[in-house]
Amino acid sequence: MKLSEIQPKFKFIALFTSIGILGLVVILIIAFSSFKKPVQPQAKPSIAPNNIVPPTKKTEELPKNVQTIKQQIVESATENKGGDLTLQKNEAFIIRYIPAPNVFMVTLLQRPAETYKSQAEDWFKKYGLKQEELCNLPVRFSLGTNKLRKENPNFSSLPKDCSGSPVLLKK
Amino acid sequence: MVSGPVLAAENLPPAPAPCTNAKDTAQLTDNFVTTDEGEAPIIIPVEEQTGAPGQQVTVNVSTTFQIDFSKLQAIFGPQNSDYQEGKTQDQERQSANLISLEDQDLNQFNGPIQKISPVSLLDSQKVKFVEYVAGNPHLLESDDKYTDIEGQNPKNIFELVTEFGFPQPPKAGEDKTDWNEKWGKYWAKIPTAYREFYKGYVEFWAYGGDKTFSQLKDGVVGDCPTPTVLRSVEFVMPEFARTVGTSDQLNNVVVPCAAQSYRHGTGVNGDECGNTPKTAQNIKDENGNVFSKTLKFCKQLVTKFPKDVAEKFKKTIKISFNWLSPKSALAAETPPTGGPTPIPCFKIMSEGKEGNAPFCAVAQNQLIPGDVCSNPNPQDPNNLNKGQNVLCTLTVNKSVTLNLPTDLTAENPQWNACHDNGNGTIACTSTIRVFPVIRIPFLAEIWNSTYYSDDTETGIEGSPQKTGRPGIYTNFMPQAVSQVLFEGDGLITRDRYRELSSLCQGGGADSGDELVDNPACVELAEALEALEAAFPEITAQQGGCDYATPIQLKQCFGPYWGRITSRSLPGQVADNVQGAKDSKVLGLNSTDEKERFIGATDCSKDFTKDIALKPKALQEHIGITKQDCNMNAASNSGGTQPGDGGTPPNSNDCSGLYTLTNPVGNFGDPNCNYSDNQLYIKLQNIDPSNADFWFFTIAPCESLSRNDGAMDPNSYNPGSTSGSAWGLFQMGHAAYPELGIPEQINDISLGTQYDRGDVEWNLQASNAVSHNNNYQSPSFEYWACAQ
Repeated sequence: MKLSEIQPKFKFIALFTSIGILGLVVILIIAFSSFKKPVQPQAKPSIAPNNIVPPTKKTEELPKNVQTIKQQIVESATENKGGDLTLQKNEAFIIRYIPAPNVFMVTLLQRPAETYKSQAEDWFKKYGLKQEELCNLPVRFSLGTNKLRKENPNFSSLPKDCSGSPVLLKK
Repeated sequence: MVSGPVLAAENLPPAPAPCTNAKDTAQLTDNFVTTDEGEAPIIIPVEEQTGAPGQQVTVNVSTTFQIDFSKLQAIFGPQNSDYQEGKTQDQERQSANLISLEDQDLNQFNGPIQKISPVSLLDSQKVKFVEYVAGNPHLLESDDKYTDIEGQNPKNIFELVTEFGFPQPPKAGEDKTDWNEKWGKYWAKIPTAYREFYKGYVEFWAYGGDKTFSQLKDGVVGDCPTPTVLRSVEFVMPEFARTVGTSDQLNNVVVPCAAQSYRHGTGVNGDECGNTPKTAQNIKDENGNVFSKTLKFCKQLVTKFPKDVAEKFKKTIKISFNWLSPKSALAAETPPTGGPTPIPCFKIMSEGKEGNAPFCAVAQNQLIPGDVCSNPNPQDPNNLNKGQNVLCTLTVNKSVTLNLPTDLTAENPQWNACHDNGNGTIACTSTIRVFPVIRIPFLAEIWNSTYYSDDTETGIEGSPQKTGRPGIYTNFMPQAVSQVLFEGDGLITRDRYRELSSLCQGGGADSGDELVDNPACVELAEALEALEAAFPEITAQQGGCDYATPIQLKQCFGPYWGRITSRSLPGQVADNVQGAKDSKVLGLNSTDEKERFIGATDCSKDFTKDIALKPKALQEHIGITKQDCNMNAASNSGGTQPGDGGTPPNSNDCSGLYTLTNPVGNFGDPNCNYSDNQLYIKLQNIDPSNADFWFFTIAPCESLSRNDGAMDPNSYNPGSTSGSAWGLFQMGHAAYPELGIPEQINDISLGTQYDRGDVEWNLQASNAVSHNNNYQSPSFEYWACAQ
């Protein structure tokens, strides 16, 4: 076989070899990238944690008049579901009293949450309670839908002008 | 005032002793206990027997069987009668102050009988009740005290009759002054049906020959084969009469004769109404006692006997037999003694809570030497006669006699095969089959009076069911409602799904075949499309479901599973009813199931009553806003429950509290008893130091809210980072093979299954606490909401 006949063959062999190696590298890169995909820290969706600030005062520690009003409110329950007492229910919020943890729970169902939170506070105040007395009554709020939780990531379970923090994990 | 009752009645002081005064009736429904395949639980092969033609051959059957009579009678509870006429037998109702009852309570005070029956008929029933109870002081009701409508002056029937005479209610337009001063004050409390106890029997029946078995199974023209009764034990069924009585009253009152099923007619077969437009009440009056008509049942083997009923019997009866051998009458031997050998197929299943219905311990005269009885629960308030014979191991030791045939050319069903030995003798082989048979009074009548009649579905040939004729609960059901409830409203039913699912196998993208090549897969795909269109809210939430393989196609049904209709047969528990597959079917908390067990009726009893009889405004006021009910959309987990076995999922949305979009239905609150209050109490009990953290921080953050604002124990997130997340604490789940869902339990390899949120809410709580205590370091690492 003449060299002149061999050279073109070498050219083809070299060309195909190069393409093959290149393809192999590409495949390896793709495979490597899929198997060793670096874990990207995903930004957590901003959503209200919906945790509740627990009550800090017992009923007997409340002023007498507040105790009386509290009793009056509890007795206004329209429904008892396994101990959960339904006090008020409309399309925007549901107010319940949960006896065991001693908390008035307001579940907000519609937007804007802050507006209906305020309306629910007014419902309590119609009994003669002052805004600050809602803190220890205690009234607490939660968001009843994921949509509301996403829309109100910084939502507080406390009534307006109250202070407190969620239960902390005991380390 | 009108004239009083025609019958002169006695008035005797109360002396309740119903267990010892139970009535006998020939109207027994024979329920054969068989294996799942419809075979006899005890099969005794009879090896070749040689003898002269006509010679007797005996086969001794020696066996023991254990019966828990408290459970046996609890299989059929009193709930149907309680529903039908209200809880007239309950002390609370008898002493209620009707004046102070709220509207809703008053609404529940009476059952359909009082609500839909004309006053004149009701009065008639009550008069008969008073007369019968006054003359039969052994009845439990004889010493029941009824207060007046203000809850005062309690008196029993004897005292009422002594003071006021027998009741003669005034008709319309008559002066009611005297009546209102006397009986009128008590009349609302008077029941319409009494609890007369009836005898049932547990018997062991033996049959010889495969042909006899075929006759039993397939039916026979003429008389059915006669069994050899090896043992018969009488027991007392407390609630049957009242259940039958109340349902019968309703049928009599509201269903025209021609529309009724068997038993109310006058035709030759008892199933035809007269030419004249008589009502059932007319016919009943002509024929006397409603129980007096004859049921024409061929005592046949019920191979299609509802499996779940058979399962309950099996749980109640444990059989073992220690020795059996065919013997020639000429060479009979004394059976050897020895310990009984259990038969696996009849083992008692796991301990359950059955047995919470009133029962009578078996009478001493039913026992024979060798029987052993005990009373495991001496304080059981349901033990009406306080007897000691509750859990009994009874013995059977008796021979079955077969005659060698005299003519080998004739049919000899007792023998399987015979041949002539040519020396004046013949040789034959056979098989003895022994069935435990539970002979229950009026069971067929109860079936007949339940939700619907359909002679193709009872599984009993010669059934009194008649297709298209109503039971008591369908008489006012609109057709449209019936379609929604029981016919899937044009959508696929679970039964059909299962059929198609089993046929839609293989193929698909994996094999290169096309789904369209398989008709079952095609039908499933069409059914899925229909479901997607029928439940757009689920479709919108789940998005479209793509599939290329049968498994993927079946998985697409998951979100809709809770909405797929499951139809249950009369007397049969739907397999999707909670507890139907475990020992809690008749549990303390499963009143619902017991009612359904009687006739698969419960779901729509209240529902259809409400839909049909209550004004629309009232329906809305009390929350009846959907054409939905418990039985309509049930779910069957197929999974297992950890630890103490929580109630399996069902389809009950608890009167609209839950929007069930997860694949298995109501897993978190199948008994509809969840409340935030109860959750907090539970957490305080199991993890007091972290109860507030669980309740105020973890659960409200992890879970959703149900429709009344409480946290949702059915919370479900199909897109959790680790797969799907279930329940209040968003944890793992068991496998659901039927839905193609593999398990997702991260501690299963460690020998526990705490990582399960697809369980009842109280188990969700204990699982979360246990998982945290055992496997989380630092604590609560599992939950993102804790970080």
